[in-house]
Amino acid sequence: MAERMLMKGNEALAEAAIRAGCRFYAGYPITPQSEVPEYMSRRMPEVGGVFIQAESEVATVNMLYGAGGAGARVMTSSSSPGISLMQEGISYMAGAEVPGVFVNMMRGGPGLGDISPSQGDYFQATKGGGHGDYRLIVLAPGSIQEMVELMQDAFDLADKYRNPVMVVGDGMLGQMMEPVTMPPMRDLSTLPAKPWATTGAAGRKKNIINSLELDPYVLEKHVQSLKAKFDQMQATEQRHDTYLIDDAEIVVVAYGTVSRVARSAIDAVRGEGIKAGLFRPITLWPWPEVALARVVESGRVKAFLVAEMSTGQMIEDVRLTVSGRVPVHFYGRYAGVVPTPKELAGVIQNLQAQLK
Amino acid sequence: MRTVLSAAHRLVVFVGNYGSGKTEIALNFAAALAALGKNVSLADLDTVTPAFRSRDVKAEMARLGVRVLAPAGEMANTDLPSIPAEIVGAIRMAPGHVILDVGGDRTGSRVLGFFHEAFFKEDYEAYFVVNPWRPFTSTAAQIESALAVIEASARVRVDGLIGNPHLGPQSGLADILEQVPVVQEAAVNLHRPVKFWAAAKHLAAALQEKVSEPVLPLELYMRPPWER
Repeated sequence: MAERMLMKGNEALAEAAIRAGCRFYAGYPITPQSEVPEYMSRRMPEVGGVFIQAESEVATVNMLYGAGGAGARVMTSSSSPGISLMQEGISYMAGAEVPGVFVNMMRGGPGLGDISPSQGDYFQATKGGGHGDYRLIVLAPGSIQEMVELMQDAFDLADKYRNPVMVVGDGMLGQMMEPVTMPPMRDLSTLPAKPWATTGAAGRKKNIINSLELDPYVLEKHVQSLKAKFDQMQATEQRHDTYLIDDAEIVVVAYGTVSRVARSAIDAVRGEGIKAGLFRPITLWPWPEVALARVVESGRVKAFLVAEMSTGQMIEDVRLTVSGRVPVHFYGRYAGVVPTPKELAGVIQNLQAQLK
Repeated sequence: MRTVLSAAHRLVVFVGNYGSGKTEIALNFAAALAALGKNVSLADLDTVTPAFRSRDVKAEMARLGVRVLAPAGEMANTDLPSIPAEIVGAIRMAPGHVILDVGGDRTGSRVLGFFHEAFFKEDYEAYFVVNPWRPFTSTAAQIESALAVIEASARVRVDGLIGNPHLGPQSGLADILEQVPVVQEAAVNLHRPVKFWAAAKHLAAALQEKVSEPVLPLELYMRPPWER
């Protein structure tokens, strides 16, 4: 397969996963991400991997639990309602320290909602989702090329921390096409060893993958060790990107599709002399608080504008970091509506007028 | 530039793999026919993707004189495998040309099988849109097998290829020319002509100097909101 290609987000992330060494995909179709299982069903047999169309999302996540526990690089993909169904299994995987990659191409909700782009699952992805004390690294690409790169990182981070990793996009990122350059196929023999995996106990002590521990003192110790991993993630894995932020007085905070809209809006208002810039979280968790705090402490920013395709979820993390030092405003379209650059430019212009 | 607009039949069908450019080409082809004063309808038969469909530019097309036949109201925002009866009727009986914009791959083109009977009663022309920069159609051999799969699934006879090689709106002429021989090789092996080529309008004239078949200059309608 050619290295440079024109790809839909859903196809690109699937190919990128295979390049990263994923050889086990289970999933259940749901719009707007069904191209992922479709692509996997075609490509996995070509690379000697496994594709399973499961009978449900609940079955899917438990297949990942099993195959991931046996040491494979595993992934699934779904969209909002399907990801909700997987939450119990994600919690089990976090508890049993089984790595795996979950892709959520978010659609309008709540409930069955619609099949149009949304960012309404920010809370679900970053604040738990399933039960118990656990965290997921949540990666939010802003382009198809970045999606390809973050898929590589997603598998590496999942293995490094023995924890599920989530990649979030939306219907727009999944369906749109952009040129991508694919990384080479990873040599599976160079992937990190997994001495903990259940690969057959011949000649060694049994490995056990389990999230049940009835002795609260033993479980407390286990949860402490999980917390130590999450603390390490927070200390070392924060990622973000910026655009025209060095002299910005109004800083838009946006991720994914909305960050693309925001860039166009910022270009438009810059043409009118408004000093606007973009802060784009790439890890939604760990939240890039260190970098954002630095932006606040620069003293140049007069207002933040959080723009989301939700009624206001990420804004809570922005407020925590900004801590009242600068006003934080919000603009949201949701339930499947994508804001236009023109309407976001209008919001920035209004904000600028208020500042004067 | 040579004219591409020789629709000899009332029904003109565009099939191809996902993301090959079927919709963009169907829209531009329809708009060009309408500009010549022809009565043109375009049937959006995409039942497999939730975005970037011709129904999204229905109003724009109406201004250009093209009637877009697509599920209306709430049903426009679905990807259900159903075609409303009024669209079926219009395809069978509408005066003037009807351009059929069909969903991608085996799955999307299956919907055409439903119109099989109509196609037997009335002749049509069908074209396979191909972009070798896309996965699964990057070599002549892959294009040949992709075309065979779609002919079988759609139960249509493909009369020719539409070469649409590009890497997105930022493509240069070199990106297009790099893949022209792949399309030509597939056409030779398939014993079918390249009906025409397609290229973004700022590159069309330059491409025309390099190929003998006509080039359809494309206005790009299927762009994300921040590029429109």
